[in-house]
Amino acid sequence: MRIEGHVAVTLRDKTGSVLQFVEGPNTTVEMSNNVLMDCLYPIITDNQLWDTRSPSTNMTYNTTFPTGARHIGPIGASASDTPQTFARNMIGYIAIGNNINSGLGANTIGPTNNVANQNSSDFYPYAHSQLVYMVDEDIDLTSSTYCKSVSTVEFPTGFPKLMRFSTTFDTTEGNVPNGVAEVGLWTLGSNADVNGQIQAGQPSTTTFMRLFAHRVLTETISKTTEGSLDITYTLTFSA
Amino acid sequence: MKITGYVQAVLRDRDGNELGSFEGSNAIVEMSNNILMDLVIPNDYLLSQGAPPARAEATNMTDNTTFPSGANHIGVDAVNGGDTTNLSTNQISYICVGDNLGTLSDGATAWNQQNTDAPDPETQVSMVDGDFDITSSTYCKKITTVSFPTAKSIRFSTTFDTTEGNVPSGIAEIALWTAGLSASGVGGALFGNQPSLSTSCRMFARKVLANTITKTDDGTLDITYTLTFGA
Repeated sequence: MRIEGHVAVTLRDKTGSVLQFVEGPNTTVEMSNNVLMDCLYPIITDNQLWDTRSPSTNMTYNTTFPTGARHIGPIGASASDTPQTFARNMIGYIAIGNNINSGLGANTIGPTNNVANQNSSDFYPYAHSQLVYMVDEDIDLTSSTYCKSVSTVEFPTGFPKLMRFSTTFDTTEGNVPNGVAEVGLWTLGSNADVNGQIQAGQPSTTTFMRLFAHRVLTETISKTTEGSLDITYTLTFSA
Repeated sequence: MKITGYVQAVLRDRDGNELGSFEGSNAIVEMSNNILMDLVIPNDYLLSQGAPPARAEATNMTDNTTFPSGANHIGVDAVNGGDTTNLSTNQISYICVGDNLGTLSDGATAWNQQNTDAPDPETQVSMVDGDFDITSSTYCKKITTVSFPTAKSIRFSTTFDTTEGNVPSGIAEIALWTAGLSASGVGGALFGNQPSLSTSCRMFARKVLANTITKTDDGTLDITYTLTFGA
């Protein structure tokens, strides 16, 4: 099986007219391996211990966001907390940034990236697929400037192997300084309530959130309070 | 990302001595697309659109809930605090064996070549074995160990004990299956060594063996099934 992503971003004015449209394919990042493995890991016994997973590039065993080599999925500790922990690895948010970083920060160590429309692999010591975070050094996933919950999930008609996540950044949201040049697909992390559900909007915490896929746009989108931004992120499963 | 499978099976006598082994790689089946999509879809509260949207039918799958088809979404549907069964529906939980003799999943094509795979193995939605019963210890065993042998791989293991896995015509196919609606222990844990019912169980990957393994109650069979994720 191969999993591939495709991003489409549409900037509209207040009347809904299209001002700019950018789209393109991308691969999922390495962290998606961990997300899917944690999804598939069975609960064999009550209160079971989880096997340790080796850290791969740019990931560690610690619990500090946004790393995550270790298993963080459902823990099976009790009936009351599993809906929350099950939900950790569901895809729930779309984040945006300007893809500019003076040093790729503490989360993703590397040299400066000041080219908004160029993949970080040109500057980053590792491949683009090894990113575990947005490149934008100012990003705050709990802020409406950078992150929005997925509002619609579709299985496009006639395409049994496609899954599409969509959201819209309204006029007051997504107004990233220096423009939007990167889009990421993120898991829910610890934002689900006791029933495994989340509120629309932004995450309240970044704990256990993981980057599943990341796309650098070929054009920067300058979004202001004069417009809205529709984003669709499509994953294609090819088994 | 690319996902591939790898199977190892070791036949032992009652003393644990190795009598024979088999190993080989395989592709995962199309149903795995649905399983993974159902695992990452957020729940309906977030979506505010009721039940998850309908999914188009792929080859050999229908929208009904009859075992083992499943183009429809199954799993997290309307989550509530006590509903841990639905949450674990799509986790890989069982390893199944069969003789690879029976009718293919198209429902019409008879298959009597034990060590040769079906023409389109990726479209199989169940074992080929016509006598396959996932609730029987002859054909199915709960996974007992999960490990991460490398950073990008997850390994599922089980052992068919002397009284288990004694498939009448020998073992010629091995597969990974999801929990379905059998998980009802605390925190979604599985009860028993086999599913109590086949409802919502789905096949994730399947391998046809080049040589049939003849297992009797004089021996045990260790099986490991490794999935490697290539992102």
